[in-house]
Amino acid sequence: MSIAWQYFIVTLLVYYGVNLIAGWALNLQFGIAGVMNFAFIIYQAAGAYTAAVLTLGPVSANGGYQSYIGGLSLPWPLPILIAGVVGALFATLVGLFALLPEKRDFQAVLMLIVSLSVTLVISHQTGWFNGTAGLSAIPKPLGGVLNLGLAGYGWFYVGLTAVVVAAVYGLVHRITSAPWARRLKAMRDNPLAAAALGTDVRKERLIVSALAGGIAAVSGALLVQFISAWAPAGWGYGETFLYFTAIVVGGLGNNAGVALGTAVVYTVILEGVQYLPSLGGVSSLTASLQQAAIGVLVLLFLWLRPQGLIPERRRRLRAQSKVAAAPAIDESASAHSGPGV
Amino acid sequence: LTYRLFSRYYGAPVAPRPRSESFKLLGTRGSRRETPVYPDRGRIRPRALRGAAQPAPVAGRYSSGGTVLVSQIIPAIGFGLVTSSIIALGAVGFTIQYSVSRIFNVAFGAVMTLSAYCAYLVNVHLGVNIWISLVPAALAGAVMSAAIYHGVYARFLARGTSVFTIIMVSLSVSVIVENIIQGLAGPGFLTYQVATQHPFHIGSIVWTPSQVGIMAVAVACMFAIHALLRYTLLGKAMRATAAEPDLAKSCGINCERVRFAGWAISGGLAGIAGVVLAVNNAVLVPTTGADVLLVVVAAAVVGGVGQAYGAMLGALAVGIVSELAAIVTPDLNYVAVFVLMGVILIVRPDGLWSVGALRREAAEL
Repeated sequence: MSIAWQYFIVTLLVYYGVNLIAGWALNLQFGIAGVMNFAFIIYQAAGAYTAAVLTLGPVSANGGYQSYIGGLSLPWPLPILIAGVVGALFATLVGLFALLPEKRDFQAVLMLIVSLSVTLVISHQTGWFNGTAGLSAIPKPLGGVLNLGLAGYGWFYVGLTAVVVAAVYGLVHRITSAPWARRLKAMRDNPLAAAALGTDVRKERLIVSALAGGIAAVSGALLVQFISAWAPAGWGYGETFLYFTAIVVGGLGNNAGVALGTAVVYTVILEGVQYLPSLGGVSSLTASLQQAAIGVLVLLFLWLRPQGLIPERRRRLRAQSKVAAAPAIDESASAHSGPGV
Repeated sequence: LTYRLFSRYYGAPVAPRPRSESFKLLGTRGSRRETPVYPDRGRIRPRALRGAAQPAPVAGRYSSGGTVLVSQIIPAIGFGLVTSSIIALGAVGFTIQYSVSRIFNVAFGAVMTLSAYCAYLVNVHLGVNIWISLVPAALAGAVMSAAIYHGVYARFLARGTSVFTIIMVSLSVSVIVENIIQGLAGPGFLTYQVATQHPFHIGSIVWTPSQVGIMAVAVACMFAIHALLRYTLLGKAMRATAAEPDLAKSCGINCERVRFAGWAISGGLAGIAGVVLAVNNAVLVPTTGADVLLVVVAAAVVGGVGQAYGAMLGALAVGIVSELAAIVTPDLNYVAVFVLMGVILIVRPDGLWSVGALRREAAEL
């Protein structure tokens, strides 16, 4: 294989690993616990920025063309771990504010505005993380030590990603198969009933948000060290919806579904549209139509397979199996009885 | 191939160009810094965009030095009224479609943009006055909005898709519409033909004639909506559908038809809002509508989701708050709007126009 092909495949694989981790984190939060976290992407960004400033070294070392807070050169596993902790703390902070209202659609709107506000502030506070231009030249883990060449290093990073993915899967799988997940699912399907049975809904939501925030931050740290650059344009709130789309297409509430959905949305759809025939060399028209095709494909998936590619297996007691399982995430909407015009 | 892999994500670096205020709302202040614009802003983008080599922002930020001058407050309120007028058109439209169908329609911004481009066609290619172009633009918005509702959302709702998934659906619709616009019109910015203007001075408030026109259009539309909701059968049916769909249905109201009409009306408002927004911004780009969508939503939420009069009040609050905040931090004035919205959601989740209105409504129906 030529180096270019290898690099292409390496990029796809690393991205898939990163999106997989983030998808699992979002699934834990939304698919299992029912927290509509529309600010999800900022936790990933927090992890990425943390990892970046922990590896970039002091500002002056880079010729001072970009400005940022701090600046250390920690060896590899540390930045990603600290990023996870920072992400969890950040998610807790956001959660303390955004999870205040009882209604979940209000929480969602609060999350959305937190996401937008953070993007605006980071873009305009050039002293923090270099503003809109973003950070670049972030060193790669062990990049100076290993002497593997471009493609060789790429495969090394794929291995690194695989290790992190495996670790995250271990954690997520443990959580989703633990009794705690049943409590979270009960809370998702009917928060009132769960609260009546003694679940502190707000506390559980906060804990699961912090966990998911930490995992998302790990995915961000992993990504930023691969692409060695990070800017606000890459984490607009649209990205959050793309993750939601991925887990909805794959099937909410189960890790295999999320893995498949991430593959379909990020790898098949987003990459696949690039191979659509181009239109008479008008590149901007072709690019726009490719983007539109992404929308059409997502619509088709939601129409043809609304329960997701791999639907969640719902546990039922035998005696009650005649009682239809409650529709998953719907109740917050239907419970919201209508004010007048 | 490596180059291709990245170049298609990043695109060629684009030189910063005057976008004067499409991110902000006010086009005439002139002291705002220019923001570089990326042609693919607002689309769903592949992840590789993260940290792309973006053109650096234009150097030299304006700052007011941290002192709030009292003399700046009155003009800011003047600008705020214009901003409020634009937002009010959008927020009332958004809230009407939300109230009749409970759909959080992310594609609302795309409908605004589409209508603004229709107005551009009529205004520049047919040479029609921009204020007359409002009519075809409103029609285009109405048709588009009703078509999206009837063709997509109603079908998804009819098969019981959750309201959450509808957000994904509307995001897809928004991506499709915006990218088709961008594909046909190109990513560049367009400008309406508006006659040269001599600004009015009223005290320390400065308004251009188009800004006065915008406010007049908005006030006229608000009265029209008021008349529609209060004095017509359709308006009554819309209020009934919004308040109690099941009861309305059992009273013989064809809710589906009412929703269709509601979406057409709100699409018309979106169309007008899109055009006046582009007039005020002085530029039209494929993300014009999407850029202000969340401010429009903020106004709707601040006023009380689903309440037309609340949306008007919310728009007034949001417009003035954003302009007052712009005195202090010109770049972060929307953060103030979002903070306002957050506080309202926590302290008074039903919005400013809340419980009393609901009770009155119930008594009246």
